[in-house]
Amino acid sequence: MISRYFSQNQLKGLVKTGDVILPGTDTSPSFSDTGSICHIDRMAKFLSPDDLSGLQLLMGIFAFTPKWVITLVLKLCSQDRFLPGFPGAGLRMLEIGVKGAVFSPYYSNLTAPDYTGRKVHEIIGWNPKIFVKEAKDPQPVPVNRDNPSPEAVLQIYARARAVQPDIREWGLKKRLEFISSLKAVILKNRKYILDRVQEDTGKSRFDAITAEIFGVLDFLDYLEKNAAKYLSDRNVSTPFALMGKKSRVYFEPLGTALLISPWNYPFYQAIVPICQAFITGNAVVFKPSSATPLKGLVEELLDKAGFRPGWVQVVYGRGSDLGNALVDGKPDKIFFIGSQGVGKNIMARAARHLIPLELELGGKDPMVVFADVNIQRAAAGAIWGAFTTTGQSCTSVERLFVHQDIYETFKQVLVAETQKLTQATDKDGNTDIGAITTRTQVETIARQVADAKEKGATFLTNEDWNGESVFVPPMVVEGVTPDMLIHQEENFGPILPVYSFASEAEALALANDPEFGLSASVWSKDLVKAERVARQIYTGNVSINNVMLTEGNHALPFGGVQKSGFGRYKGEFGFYAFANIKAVLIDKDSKKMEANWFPYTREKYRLFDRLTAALYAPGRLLPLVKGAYWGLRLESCVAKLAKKGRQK
Amino acid sequence: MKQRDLSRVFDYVFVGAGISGPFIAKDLCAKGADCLMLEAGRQYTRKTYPDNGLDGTSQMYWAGGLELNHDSRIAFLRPKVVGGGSVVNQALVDRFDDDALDSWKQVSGISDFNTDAMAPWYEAAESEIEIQEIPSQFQNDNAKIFDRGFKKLGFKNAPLRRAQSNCRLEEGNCCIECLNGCRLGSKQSTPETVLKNALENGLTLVPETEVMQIKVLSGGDIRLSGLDGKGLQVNYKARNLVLSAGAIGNTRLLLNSGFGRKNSNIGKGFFCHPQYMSFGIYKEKINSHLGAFQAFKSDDQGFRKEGFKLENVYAGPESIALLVPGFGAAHHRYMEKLDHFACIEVCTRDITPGQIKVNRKGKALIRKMRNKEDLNRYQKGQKVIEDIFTSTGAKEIIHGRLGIGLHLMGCCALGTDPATSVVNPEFRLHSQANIFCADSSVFPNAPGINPSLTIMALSKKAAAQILRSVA
Ligand SMILES: Cc1cc2nc3c(=O)[nH]c(=O)nc-3n(C[C@H](O)[C@H](O)[C@H](O)COP(=O)(O)OP(=O)(O)OC[C@H]3O[C@@H](n4cnc5c(N)ncnc54)[C@H](O)[C@@H]3O)c2cc1C
Repeated sequence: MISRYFSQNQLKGLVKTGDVILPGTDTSPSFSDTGSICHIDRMAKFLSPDDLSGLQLLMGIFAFTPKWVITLVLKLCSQDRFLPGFPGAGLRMLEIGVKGAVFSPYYSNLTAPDYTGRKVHEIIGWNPKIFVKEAKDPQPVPVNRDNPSPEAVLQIYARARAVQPDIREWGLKKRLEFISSLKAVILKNRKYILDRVQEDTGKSRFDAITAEIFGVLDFLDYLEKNAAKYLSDRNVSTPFALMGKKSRVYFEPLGTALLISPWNYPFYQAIVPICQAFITGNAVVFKPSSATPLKGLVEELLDKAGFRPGWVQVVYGRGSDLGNALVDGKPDKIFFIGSQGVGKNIMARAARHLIPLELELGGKDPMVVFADVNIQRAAAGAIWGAFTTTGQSCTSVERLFVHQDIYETFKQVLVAETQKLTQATDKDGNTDIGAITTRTQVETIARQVADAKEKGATFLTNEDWNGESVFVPPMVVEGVTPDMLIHQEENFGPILPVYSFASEAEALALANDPEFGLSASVWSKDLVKAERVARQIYTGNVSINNVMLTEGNHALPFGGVQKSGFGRYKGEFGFYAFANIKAVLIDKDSKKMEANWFPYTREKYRLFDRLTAALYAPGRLLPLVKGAYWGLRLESCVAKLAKKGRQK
Repeated sequence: MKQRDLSRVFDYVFVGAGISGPFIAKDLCAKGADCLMLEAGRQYTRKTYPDNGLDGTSQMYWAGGLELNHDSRIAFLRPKVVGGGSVVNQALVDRFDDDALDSWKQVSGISDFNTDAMAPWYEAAESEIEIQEIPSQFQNDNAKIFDRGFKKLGFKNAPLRRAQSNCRLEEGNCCIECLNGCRLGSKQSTPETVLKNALENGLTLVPETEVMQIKVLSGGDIRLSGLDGKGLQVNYKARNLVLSAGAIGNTRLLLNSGFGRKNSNIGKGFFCHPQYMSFGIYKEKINSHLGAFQAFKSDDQGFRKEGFKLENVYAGPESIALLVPGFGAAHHRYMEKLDHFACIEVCTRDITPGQIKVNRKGKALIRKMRNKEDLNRYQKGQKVIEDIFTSTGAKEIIHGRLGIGLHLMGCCALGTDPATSVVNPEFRLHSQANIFCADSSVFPNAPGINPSLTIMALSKKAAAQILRSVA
């Protein structure tokens, strides 16, 4: 339960007090049994500010007060005959306030939605009836979010816009309570979530828990700890020439965000962008991939966490059917994760309405291994980087460059270790890799494999794959040449081409892809060299002596260059993806005129020129002193002009 | 309102859309006056009135339900909704008797306060609404206990007159539900009657706008500034102002706008007919909440002399829970027997004037003492209630823990003498001729009778005088 007016502690105090006043009997439920606390905001909203803050304070204290003490306080309150004057009035006020807060929802028959016990009104025999003849106002038709028509899409956006001010009003601190609550809900339901994710993706249990549960929880944890830091109003410096004024930055919501996610990490790519957009105060329209819709799961969890209806709307359907309508609904921001082709379409469509967007597209990520590495470790890294989630990560290792000095040894380890991988959609976490999620992707992989075989590439493992099973086995390939599809296209499957190189310069030339630039990894004992190479690779993320690990730290930004997309999400910079970063300059009201306002006069021009020359001359102290001198002269000239106006 | 309306100067602006405001506006609008009415509360329709106690009390009263007096012994219920008291009250309408009007005449110096001179205004008021008595076949068991007790003890009672048109009791409707606004449209609240008519005749009504300040401009026009539903400041201008925000509302506004400096009587003379509910618990089920939940009032000259009356009333469980003393399992036990409760209330005619002031934040502080005689009246009434319950077989009697103030009256008393009153016999402020007031705040003392019909009658009279002065 999240309240707009009470902190979690104060709610605890309120429930405890509620149970002192209404402990329940053999017939009646206790205050906490009914869950009527859920409705406390309906009342708190209308309390006078004084009464509300009094109640908040008291409940904050009662949260840490044993029940018998609360009982004693309430008993004392009722001794009104002996408590005249001010203290008596205060205690009676306390009693009425507290009892009112508890009795009102309880005896108004309000309960938690999942309360199944006997209702209070039934118990106390309260059953007045009223037979209203006129029909009630027609209930609004529920919005269809399952393959919605273009009109329904507009309704979805209308809903989002209608609730967005409410999200904004809750404020950052309160929104974080929803994040914490969601974190708890996900943790509690993780088994169920994993089952659902595996059902839709076919990935292995272990792949699922690391990325989809651990990753999500870690992100929410990061939000909890950092959102306030990055999204609170910020004071920034004001230059000397604007002395006396203040400069501030507000981070405000943009409005409604459209988020479109792919099928490779359907849960992670749902919760992370949703929460990133929500925490800044945006309403969300989220479209999962039609291949892995996890139907109803996100809504169910958000609902359990207390998110209000309409804050986050999940829309189901194929991108090809819905994409245009979703963009034409004119969200205030689009955030797309997926393929290059679809990214282009969305961007073109968004351009019609000038909707800002961020694209996280595919990659063809290189891994560069120098000769001085621990071969066992680097090979294990390559295998995990290439085959985790059966290669269906946008940051999978798709091109492995190994220094020629260790190439053969490295290759042997690589092949031997790859052959040991186990594959299934398991339930106990005892298997390495799972299935390819979509049939289309299996076909793409099959096409690339056939093409490579035809053009003479050597398959060092699993060359006998039939090209049909969704359990595409991990394949290490040698002898890949630039004319092969596997060299040019994103593979998004468990295929790992290995190349050798002779020098740092050659490695760089190979690693810098002409098209993509999402992530890369550089492996060497020599950290100076590794960082040198890292800087030279034109890409969005680099792991050194590790693989796909920038994503493991939610304080780091994520995003690509070139055709891998643009924009950054996660980390400090991610907070700005969904924010209207508003600049505010605060001056005082006064009689003072500004030097740069009209009228312009020759004398003012002369002084302004002197001020400019003085202020921006090299040096530290002298410019300030001179600047102050000319500034004062300019100011008195401005003051004179203000009084007398331009002298003809 | 649309942008262009912002510079509009209205003929009359009303603060408060309770009972008085709509009654006056109806007559002014009918004559073509350009009227604006600002109301802090929300506007509901029959279809949107809240259907539970929590929403009803928090949404339709100031401060989320209750305001307390200085010693927290009296809780005030102050309506905050389009229609004001007429939406949430019990709709009992009574004319004042000679005793009440005489005492007003004495205090105010206004000779028109007598039954004859008031009769046409009462008639005019009554012609705007339907008034009914509850037929005897629809008296519920709570009413019957009231009646039986009175008969046994030899006191006189009378059927209640309620402002209602068609409760369709034969269909099983329970009027207790209408305390959150009548969803049948039967209760003759101002939105169902005069306000509706005024709106048809061009009244501009702006709900959810709380007027915070009034200022008389140099030309004599009046500027009001307030806060709209979003908490944004809004300003309006009018040639005349009608204060119809009730005793506390008007006083708070006048004091916050500095009128206290011109007339020190503002805020003095606050009355509220403190009421005390008592419950008799019977072996059999009483089901006080069913059907027409009120049918009788006391009509005993003895009680009238002693300064109290008894009423056959009831309330929702969330309110009764507050009145039943104690907490914990024992409290539960009482509430579990709620359908065995009968209820009678003593309503006292208070003589000690209270006073309303505002603090630095502009909040109204209500100082309301009860002297020996006030308490005496209440105890005498309570004694009769005890006798009624006992004589009709109650097993146990509980007295409500709090006094309740529903009839909030006074603070801008009518009178001929500016030294002792605030509003003159023409219903204009002594200190400002284009500010009118004829609502509950002009009561010079506590009549000991349900106030709303008299508020309507005074409003009718005020409207007629305003129109005469214009013509
Ligand atoms: C539960 C209950 C039962 C009652 N039962 C009866 C009964 O049976 N018979 C009877 O005669 N009387 C009854 N009353 C009392 C009666 O309803 C009131 O006396 C009557 O409504 C007062 O009318 P009014 O026009 O003076 O003010 P109100 O009806 O109180 O209307 C004032 C309006 O002004 C608004 N307002 C206040 N300040 C501002 C501001 N600054 N800006 C904008 N708007 C503002 C308020 O929100 C309110 O809607 C009951 C009252 C309650 C609460």
